[in-house]
Amino acid sequence: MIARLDRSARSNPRLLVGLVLLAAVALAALAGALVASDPFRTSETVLRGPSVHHPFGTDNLGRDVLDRVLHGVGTSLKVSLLAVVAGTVVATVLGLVSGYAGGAIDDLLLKLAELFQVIPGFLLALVAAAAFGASLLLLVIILAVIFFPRTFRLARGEAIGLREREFIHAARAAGARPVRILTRHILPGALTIVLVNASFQAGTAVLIETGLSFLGVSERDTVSLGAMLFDAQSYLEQAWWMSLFPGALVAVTIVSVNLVGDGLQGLRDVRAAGGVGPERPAPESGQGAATLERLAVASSLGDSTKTQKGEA
Amino acid sequence: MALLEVHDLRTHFHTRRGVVRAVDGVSLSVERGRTLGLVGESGCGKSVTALSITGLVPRPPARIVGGEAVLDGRELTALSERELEDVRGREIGMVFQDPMTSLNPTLTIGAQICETLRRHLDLSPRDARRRAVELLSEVRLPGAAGRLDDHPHLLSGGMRQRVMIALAIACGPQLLIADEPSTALDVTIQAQILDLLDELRQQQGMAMILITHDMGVVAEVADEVAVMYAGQIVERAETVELFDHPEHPYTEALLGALPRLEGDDVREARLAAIPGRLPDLIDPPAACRFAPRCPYADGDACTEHNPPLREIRPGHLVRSHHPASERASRGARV
Repeated sequence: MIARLDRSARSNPRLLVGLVLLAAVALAALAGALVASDPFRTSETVLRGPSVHHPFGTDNLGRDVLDRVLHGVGTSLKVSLLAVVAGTVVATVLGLVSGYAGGAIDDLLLKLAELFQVIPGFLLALVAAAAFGASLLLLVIILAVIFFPRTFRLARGEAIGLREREFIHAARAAGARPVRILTRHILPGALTIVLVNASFQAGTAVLIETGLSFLGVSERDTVSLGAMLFDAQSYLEQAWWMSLFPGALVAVTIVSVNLVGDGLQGLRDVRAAGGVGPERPAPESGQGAATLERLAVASSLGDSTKTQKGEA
Repeated sequence: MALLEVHDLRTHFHTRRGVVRAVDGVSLSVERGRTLGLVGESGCGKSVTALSITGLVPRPPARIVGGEAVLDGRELTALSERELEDVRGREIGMVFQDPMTSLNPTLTIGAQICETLRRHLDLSPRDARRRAVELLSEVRLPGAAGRLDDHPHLLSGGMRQRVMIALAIACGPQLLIADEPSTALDVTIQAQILDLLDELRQQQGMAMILITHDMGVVAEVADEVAVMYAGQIVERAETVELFDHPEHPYTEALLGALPRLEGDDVREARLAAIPGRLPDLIDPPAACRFAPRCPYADGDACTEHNPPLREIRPGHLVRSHHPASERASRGARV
């Protein structure tokens, strides 16, 4: 697996660059957790530009921007990873079962997915945060719910496509049980597209987490990049470093996971073209939908930025 | 008692247009160590019959609405899905038509054989691998030992069909169902695969149902033949008897559709095609199902009564109002 990934990374610059960037971001988060000093410690040296002591400068309360950025990126990654892993695992299992079993189970689960699909995610997050108070756990759950429908439908579509393939019939004729068929014959075929989808969703998760904390929906005791950006607005002209570094880190994080996603997608296409992987029709929702959703989230962020500026 | 006794099997497909009677009262039996050829054109219900016996028809839309299939004293149609899973691959092995798509392209052939072996037999991974190599040699896959870790795309069609056969016989089934096993292959490979199946059947004392539309294949391998038409068996006899004295007009037509290689008029003679096509199996009329295409159809009998399957000679059953021997005795009609 590692060797294969290594070989494909060489022939796939996007994947390689994405992985390197992502590793750097993850390392930064790790450094934030292990070696950076307390991101809440205030000092007298407020609004100082980058220096040897404070490479990224200090903010309006004299806190070190580098420390805060490292912690903030850790928060983003944590939320994103948990939400995507939880959402993907649950949605993939249910999707495969739903697609393979068909019938009443399929009808029920599909209705459930459609229900989640029509709920506007960003709004749901805001309302839920207002109702239950903002917490990382809540955010993770809401993101997982937002991500559920697409992953579910992708996995379900793959299962339906593979279900009627000859080799599945042959496996059944050899006495294979449903669980075995799902795990050994159908899951591997569905895995690539599910992983591609998950990596795109990880980018979206970072964006939504940043957007929500920008609007003030974030746990009190955690540092988040969105909240930093919000604070930075008021000092945009005196202290550019307060917004540049967190903003850049958000961008780098999202670009890196999307590059990984693109790279994985490339691998999948190569495999499909080579005829090694199971051939299949185009998935019901492709990357176009993902891009649209990212744009939609971005534009809703943009709108809220304007609103905030208007109020400020 | 025969190894497999199928009695009055009925499988219907429930579709939006109505109920399709894909298998409509099929009875057949296969003795241990013998080969039954199940013949008929595409869509006549051969495969659905086989799938019904093994419980593999897609339910829904299909439903087995009547009849029974008894394998070695066990009534298969009464078994639960879980019990059927234990029968499939263990007591009944199946070989399908297209070896290019019947193997999982993402798994090595060794993995696929071992999976089946370990599913039914209590084997350690090491023993399963050893047995897999033996099986691949038994089906005479060239370089068997080195092939275990190959993915299917490295193998040719004929080689893949050998792997499929190895899979089918892996757990020593009593019955092997081969559904058009040679149709997708080159002619030379076809003969090899048929020989291999026949040889394995003899060695292992299996019974075999060979499903095909090719009378030539039947003549080569089968001990007994059942001809199917529109969901029903129209003629059943020992192979030699059937080829020498076909009774049903449909069987005659099938034999007439075989190209001949000898005789004076070989170059000029055209292949005899059977006019018309299979009738709609949604609410078929009470008439003889072959009547619209039958050159001998006449009068009320043919259009109003579906003839029963009757024993015209010992061991020779036919479903027709105008079997060949009776036509002859009444004076030949054209």
